[in-house]
Amino acid sequence: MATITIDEKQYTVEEGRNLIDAAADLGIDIPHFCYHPGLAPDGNCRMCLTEMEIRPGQFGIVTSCTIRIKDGMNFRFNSPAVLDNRKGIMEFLLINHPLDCPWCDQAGECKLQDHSFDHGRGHSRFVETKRVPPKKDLGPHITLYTTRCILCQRCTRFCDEITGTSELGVVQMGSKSEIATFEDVPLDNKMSANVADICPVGALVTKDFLYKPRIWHYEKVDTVCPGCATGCNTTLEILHQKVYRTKPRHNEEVNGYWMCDEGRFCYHGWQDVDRMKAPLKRVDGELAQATWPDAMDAAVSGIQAVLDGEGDSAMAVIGSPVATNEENYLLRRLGAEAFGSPWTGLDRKPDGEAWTSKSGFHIDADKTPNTRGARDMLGAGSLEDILRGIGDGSIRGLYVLGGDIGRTLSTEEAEAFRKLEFLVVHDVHRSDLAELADVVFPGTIPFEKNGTMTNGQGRVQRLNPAFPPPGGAREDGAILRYVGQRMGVDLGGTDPAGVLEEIAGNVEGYAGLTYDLIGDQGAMTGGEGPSEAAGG
Amino acid sequence: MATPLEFTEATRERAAEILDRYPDEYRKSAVVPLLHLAQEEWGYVSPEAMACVARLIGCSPVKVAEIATFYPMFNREPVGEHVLAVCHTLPCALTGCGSVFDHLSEKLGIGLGETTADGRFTLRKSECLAACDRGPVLLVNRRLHTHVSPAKVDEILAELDKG
Amino acid sequence: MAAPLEILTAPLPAETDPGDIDAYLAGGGYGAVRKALKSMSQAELIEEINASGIKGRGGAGFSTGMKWNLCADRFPRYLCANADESEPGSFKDRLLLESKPHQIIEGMIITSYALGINLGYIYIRGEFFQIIDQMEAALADARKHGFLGADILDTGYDLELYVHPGAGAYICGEETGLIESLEGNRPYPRLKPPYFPAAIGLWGQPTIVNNVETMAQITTIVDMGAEAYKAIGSEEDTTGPRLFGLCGHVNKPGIYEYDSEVTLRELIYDAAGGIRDGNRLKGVIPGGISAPILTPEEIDTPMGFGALGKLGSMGGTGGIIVMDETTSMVDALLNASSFAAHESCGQCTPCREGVPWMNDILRRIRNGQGREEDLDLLLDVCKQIHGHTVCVFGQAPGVWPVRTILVKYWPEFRACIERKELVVPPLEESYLRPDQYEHIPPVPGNFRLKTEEADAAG
Ligand SMILES: Cc1cc2nc3c(=O)[nH]c(=O)nc-3n(C[C@H](O)[C@H](O)[C@H](O)COP(=O)(O)O)c2cc1C
Ligand code: SF4
Ligand code: SF4
Ligand code: SF4
Ligand code: FES
Ligand code: FES
Repeated sequence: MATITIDEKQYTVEEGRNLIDAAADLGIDIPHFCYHPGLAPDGNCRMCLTEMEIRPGQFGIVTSCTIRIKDGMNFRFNSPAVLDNRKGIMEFLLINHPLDCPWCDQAGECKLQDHSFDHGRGHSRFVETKRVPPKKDLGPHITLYTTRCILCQRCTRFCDEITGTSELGVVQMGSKSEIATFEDVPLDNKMSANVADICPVGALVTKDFLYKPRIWHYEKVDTVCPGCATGCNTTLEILHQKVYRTKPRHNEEVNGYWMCDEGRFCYHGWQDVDRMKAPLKRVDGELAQATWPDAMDAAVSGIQAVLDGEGDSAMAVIGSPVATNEENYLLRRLGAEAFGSPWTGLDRKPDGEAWTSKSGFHIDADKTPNTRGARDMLGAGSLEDILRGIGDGSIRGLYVLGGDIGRTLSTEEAEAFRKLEFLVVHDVHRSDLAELADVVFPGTIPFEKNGTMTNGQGRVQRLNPAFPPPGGAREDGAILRYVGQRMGVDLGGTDPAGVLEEIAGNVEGYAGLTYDLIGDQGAMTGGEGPSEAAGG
Repeated sequence: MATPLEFTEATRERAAEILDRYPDEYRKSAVVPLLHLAQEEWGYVSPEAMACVARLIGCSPVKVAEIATFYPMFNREPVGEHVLAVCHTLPCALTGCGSVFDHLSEKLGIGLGETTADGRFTLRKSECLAACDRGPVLLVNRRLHTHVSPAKVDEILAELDKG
Repeated sequence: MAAPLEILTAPLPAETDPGDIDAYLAGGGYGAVRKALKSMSQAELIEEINASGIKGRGGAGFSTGMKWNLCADRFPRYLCANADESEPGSFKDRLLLESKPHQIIEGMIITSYALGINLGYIYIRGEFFQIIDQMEAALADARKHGFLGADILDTGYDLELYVHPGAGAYICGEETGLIESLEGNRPYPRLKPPYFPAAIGLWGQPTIVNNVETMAQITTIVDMGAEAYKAIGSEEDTTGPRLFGLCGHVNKPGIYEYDSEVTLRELIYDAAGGIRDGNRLKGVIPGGISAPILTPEEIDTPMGFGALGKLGSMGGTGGIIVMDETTSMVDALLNASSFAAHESCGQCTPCREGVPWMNDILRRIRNGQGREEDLDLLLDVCKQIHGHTVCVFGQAPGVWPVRTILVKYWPEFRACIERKELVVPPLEESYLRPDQYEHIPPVPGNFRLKTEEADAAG
């Protein structure tokens, strides 16, 4: 820790921290454009200039973004020299800026707009002709409104430092400088859309978010990306029960400031799927819509019939890596307590591609968000074991938490499931799996889930529901409880925090975990300290 | 992009020699000298030439474009057989470079940055060429002409016409 | 009248090719290298340079001895000799590069040896085609004669020197822009601190960047000894021989070698033969375009870096641009400003946006569309740039010419605006006398005109 002075007041801040970040920790905003905490400081915009005591009694102008805190440093944030410079920089940035805020997609989250309220001159002394370079299509996800660019180089530095793909550069010289890609090499990498988040003005925009409602209309919900086992922290922007945009939420231990494009845009897949609005049950060999009580009756009697048949443990459960820890935990209890079954399996879809960026940002091969947590909840047991059990006739009935829209069944899997006497499935649409079931309960997609998931590194993180499940769909936990209840087993209350408490008491590695401890940054299982940062 | 360009064998040898001047891990240092080579070979630095240089030094092509588009000496488009650059910075302006430029422009029938229809001449302005005591100065390809006057322009053009 | 010197400008024997190493050796060439490598320790050499009092000739006039002493104790270290000479009005490096390539190489070898450097580059501006060819050949000859390469003169010391060509960008002369250029990046100058080349330079290592004239002078110092060297000029101000390049409206433009005690008046009227056509002097820029202009009353100044600094100008590169009474100062400033607008690298906001803006305003004034408020606006833009940029460019060619030419020739600019056309008023009415404007300090902050007097004069 270090003691520093800002405008004659003393503060204690972390030694070695960048001045802009240290000030932000104290709730003091140093206006800046080119500095981004996820990138190396560059010092080009000159907005962050403050005064620092260089020799006793003598102050000099310094770039806050490159200053690292040392004990005894003395700053002036509000001296005339500092304020005049800010006004000057704002004027310089605005002279060639189009001021098309009413049409700009960044309006409302534009640093230029923010700062010009606070530091601008209010009127223009620029009577010369503005430069008007054309807009450019940079790649599959990103468009550059060249006129709005203030050449802070956050985007080029991102592609150099973080992805290491270097598709962006600054071409031309001096006041003609422009951000550009090379000929037929577009901005197309696994994390490309992050440049739109970090662009401090409306120059880089995702095509996905063009011409959408203005940003102040959205409700924001913090959650975790369902795209892979990395579990990037995200914020969803919601309007009328729909996700309009996903943005990464900073978590140094997981994703840094970033997320991958696939994860960012995966909400379309989840949202566009043809959701089941009511339970289904098989009547005369065909699946037909049923009421909840009807479907519940059918499920319970079907399960009971299997349990009443020959053999000890004829029912098995299969958990889901896209369901929360709480859902999987309740499934395990249902299996053990209502079905009396030792058989638990966990669905695992084939691996996708893993990728690690230059800075260490990792996209996992496991394209589901909670394999680790589900396994912890269910105990060991693989899908293969279950298939084998079905094959040799020891398993005759199955209760499956489905819900992964990206999951299709292999022929072996489908063949095995067809052999079953009775199959109950939770799902969100009429998947391959649902088509084979005797009863299907419409459950939730990850954006509707309330609970926790455990990412690949063992970090337990919170999911907050962005909106309620549509139509007749229900929370999966509630469905499980209802089935339990009908079979004479009380699975407890409906509050996921309560379930977590139970998990903490019963599941190895989860001892001591609470919502409070997990907070918005997650907490490690096994009581280990934070593991090596994956973000960056 | 059009078909990839490659240096000729002889140029490749020179390129290797240039690359040898820098530590192996800093091959990118050779980008400006290699762009000069490319310009010698093809007359100007096309995107294909930039890509060729990028392959030689092993970097992303936009990083070569960053350099090739920054420096005024790299032609981004084909130029005339002779590039004439009139220095127009203050000392040369004080000694009358304006009339030199105007005379050239009139004689060649082209304006600033243009190339004659027959592809013989490109007319440019240059910043100070560090020969201010001998101004006005005119850079013709690689050769500097000093104390240039409209009359001397005629001589220079005549000489170029002879080949 | 000060006496001209012939140290750096010592003529070559008749009909020798300046690149010819045999001729150079016959005249005692590479004696300094022999002396340094064979008979002096590294510490002794550094001490010798310190004792000479030499200030770098690249423009800033920074003590070379001090720079060497500041070199961080890390290896490898690198040398970059700066031959980017692009400051308008400067042409002394060209003279040395053309006439004394081996003397420059000698200086580079000595510097490298003194600082334990084994690899160095001479960064030569791209338009110097013949000079580049000649320097490449000279380096090859030096290598052949054992002054470069492994085990130089059997001392066990290894050194490689190469030419690195530029490609026409002025900013590559700024030492950290030069380093970025040499690394193959856009030549964006680096932030200082922390990127002082002597601490973190080429490829992150300590690097000495010195001007090529400084390099040539290192040879001179070792040749003549620090004692004799510092007897030239003034120990209080600037020691050693200086190359002054006179251009513009003088009768005999060219390079003149004097010590720093020579006055600007002597250089203009004696050395360079006075003003053309018997005209009167209107203004003189004493050290390259960035150096603040001096009016006719201010030319009785010695040419030391210190003396010119006291006048609010600077020694710069020693390139002296002389303008006679027929000159339009509005045109002259527009020209200087166009240069700056063209050469700004574009990295940082104030310079990228402010310098071209000032150029636009000046062009408008030049074209008869100046507005009453434009002159104050220009000074205000200067203030917004000054001290706020990444490198000195923003203020050196960016702000200083505007600030000083505009203020000193205020009446002429006013006349242009009032008459809505380019006018060149009679000399007496075109500029302010030193007691009519406050001293123009080279520090951030605006300065106020004594407006009444300015109005009276305008
Ligand atoms: C914009 C700018 C341009 C410069 N151009 C040159 C140049 O062309 N040649 C040069 O030697 N120094 C130039 N300098 C000065 C260098 O930064 C550096 O101070 C110098 O090369 C150091 O050499 P010295 O100590 O021997 O003077 C320039 C500085 C600035 C700010
Ligand atoms: S596009 Fe945006 S991020 Fe990139 S340089 Fe311009 S303003 Fe900065
Ligand atoms: S890396 Fe994984 S968790 Fe992160 S955004 Fe991509 S898909 Fe989502
Ligand atoms: S002051 Fe000008 S030249 Fe220097 S870094 Fe900034 S933009 Fe570039
Ligand atoms: S934030 Fe410090 S200079 Fe841009
Ligand atoms: S101004 Fe033309 S050579 Fe210097």
